[in-house]
Amino acid sequence: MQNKNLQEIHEEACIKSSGALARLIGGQAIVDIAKQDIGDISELSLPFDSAESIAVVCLPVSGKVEGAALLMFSNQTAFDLSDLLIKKEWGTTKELDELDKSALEELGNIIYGSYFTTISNRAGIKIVGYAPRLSFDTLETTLEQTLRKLTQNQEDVVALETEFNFTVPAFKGHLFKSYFLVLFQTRHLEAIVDSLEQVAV
Amino acid sequence: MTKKYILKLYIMGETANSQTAIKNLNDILEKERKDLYTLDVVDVLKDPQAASEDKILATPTLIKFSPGPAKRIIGDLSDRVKVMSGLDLTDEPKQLVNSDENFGVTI
Repeated sequence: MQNKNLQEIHEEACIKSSGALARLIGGQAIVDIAKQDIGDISELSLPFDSAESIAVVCLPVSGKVEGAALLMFSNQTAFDLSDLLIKKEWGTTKELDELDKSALEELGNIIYGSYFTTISNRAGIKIVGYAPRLSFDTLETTLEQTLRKLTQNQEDVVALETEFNFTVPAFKGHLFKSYFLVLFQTRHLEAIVDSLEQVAV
Repeated sequence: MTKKYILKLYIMGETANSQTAIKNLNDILEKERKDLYTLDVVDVLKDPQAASEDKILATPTLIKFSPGPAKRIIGDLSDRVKVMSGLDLTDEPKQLVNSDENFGVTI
């Protein structure tokens, strides 16, 4: 399922993210605008096996709506991103230190910031994001823990999922692949969609 | 005399939205312009230099260089009305979603 207003928000957020990424790395960044899908948690088309260990930057969301945003990538992508963000020699990161982790959390922060600022501006709904936190765990455990904090009933949650891929011309030909998942309580997403439709009329 | 369109479409690899953008654009051009256009499809992963020179922020991005003024349309080009308007192919252009926050581009 797709929603035109939410897709437009997604596209605008991608462009904002591109600008913020460029400032973070001190050079051009190009973000690929993928289609966003909306659906139940059980319908997610995640690119990872449920038992695979992945890196996840998680940001709880509060305010008028409650939810969580998850930026996920493979461990190798986490190392590559660390090289990019900390300006290290390409391929040198084999494990993450505190500075690397902080940089990845900042990456999540600017993507989430672009996304939720766009929703707030367009829908007129205040959304507060807490500090993002990086963790390494299986996809299954990550989702379980996130959902447990969000709701007692998984059926009350709706997911906005999309690939978030970008490239940096300075790293010729390299594609940084991540997966972006936003979980909202169903009634809160409905409130956002209603607000967007009222604004659009 | 009808002017020839000079267009450049930036994509990123073989992602689904890139292929969708190519198909949507070809459909519009073949119907509206027939042979009166030149389209250069650029993969930013293979030609990052071109993407740098044209200051590309996101893909897919379509740039109309000619006839002027130059315009950019970002997205998979599935909204035919917006694309037609952005390419000045309509008699009655619709208002574009265009603001400073969007870096002056149509999305």
